[in-house]
Amino acid sequence: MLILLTRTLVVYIMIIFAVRMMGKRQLGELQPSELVCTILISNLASIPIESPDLPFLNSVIPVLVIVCLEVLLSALTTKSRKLETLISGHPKVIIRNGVIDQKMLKELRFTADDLLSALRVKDIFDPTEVALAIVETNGSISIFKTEVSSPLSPAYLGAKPDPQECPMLPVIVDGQIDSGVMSCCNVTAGWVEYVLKQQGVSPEQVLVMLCNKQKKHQVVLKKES
Amino acid sequence: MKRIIASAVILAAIISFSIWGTFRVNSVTEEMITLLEQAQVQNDARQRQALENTITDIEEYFDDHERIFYLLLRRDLIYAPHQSIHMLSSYNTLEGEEDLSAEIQRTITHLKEVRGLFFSVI
Repeated sequence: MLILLTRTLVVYIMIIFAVRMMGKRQLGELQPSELVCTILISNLASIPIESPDLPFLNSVIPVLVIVCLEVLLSALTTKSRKLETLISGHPKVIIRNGVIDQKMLKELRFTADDLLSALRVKDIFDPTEVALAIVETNGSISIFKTEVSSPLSPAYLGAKPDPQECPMLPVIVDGQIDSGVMSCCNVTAGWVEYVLKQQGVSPEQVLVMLCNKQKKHQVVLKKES
Repeated sequence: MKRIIASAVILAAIISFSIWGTFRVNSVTEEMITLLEQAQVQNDARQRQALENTITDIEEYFDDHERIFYLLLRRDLIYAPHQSIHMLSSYNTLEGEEDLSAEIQRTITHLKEVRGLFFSVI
């Protein structure tokens, strides 16, 4: 039993390390090689837990090799366009000026239902509203609407809106002050303390404190359970 | 960049370890097979004392290098030669000559099977 426990712990830590090694690419939309990598790693990781008679290295080495190859391959694809096309393919236009490219639809083995479903996910119920629809290499569809169908922006009305406020960023999360976010918002620790003192609280009592460059702020206090 | 360097280093370490492991298992199994063949010759020549020393050497050598097998091979592949090797001394009697010969041969076969499975590419 101890061997199962030890191996499970080590495998768990190893997979976290592997996913961190591969970076944010792996957590977003998956390219074909990344999907293969994820499937292989998940299968390989379970082997030493299911079969204690197999040496632990039988799982560790393949997982590490796959992770390293994936990182190196992704680095090489940034240097070589040909390699990138070979591994991931290239995006394909499926709708142009409201007209569905049926030849491309067949080539991609998309049914009309698949296409309409993907458009509905983007809140489009009429393909003629689409100026350009591109099937990306990870299988997702990017849409560029026709001008007529695009939502109105201030530019269309000739309006000059006020300069945009910066987004509200979390300066304090769960009682911990984030100095990096403070510098993004151009606020100092002294200002943060001053704001909190006005409300009669300390940073440790704060669940979330949001602020932006205009020093607009919002404080959410922790609730005593 | 750090990830790329780390990946390259890890991959190089794994390749080096695999090559080392391959050569190590090769040398250990080769040495054991040589000792067993020597034991076979001594058994055929009825050199009991020399045979006893050789069997002790084989047992000690296997025990000293067991870890490399447990690190790289399936446990069920190791159990068979382990048992055979530790039974050899019990067959080393005047009456057990044929049994000892058969057991030595079986141990050699087990070790050759281990080599065959370990060194197969596909």
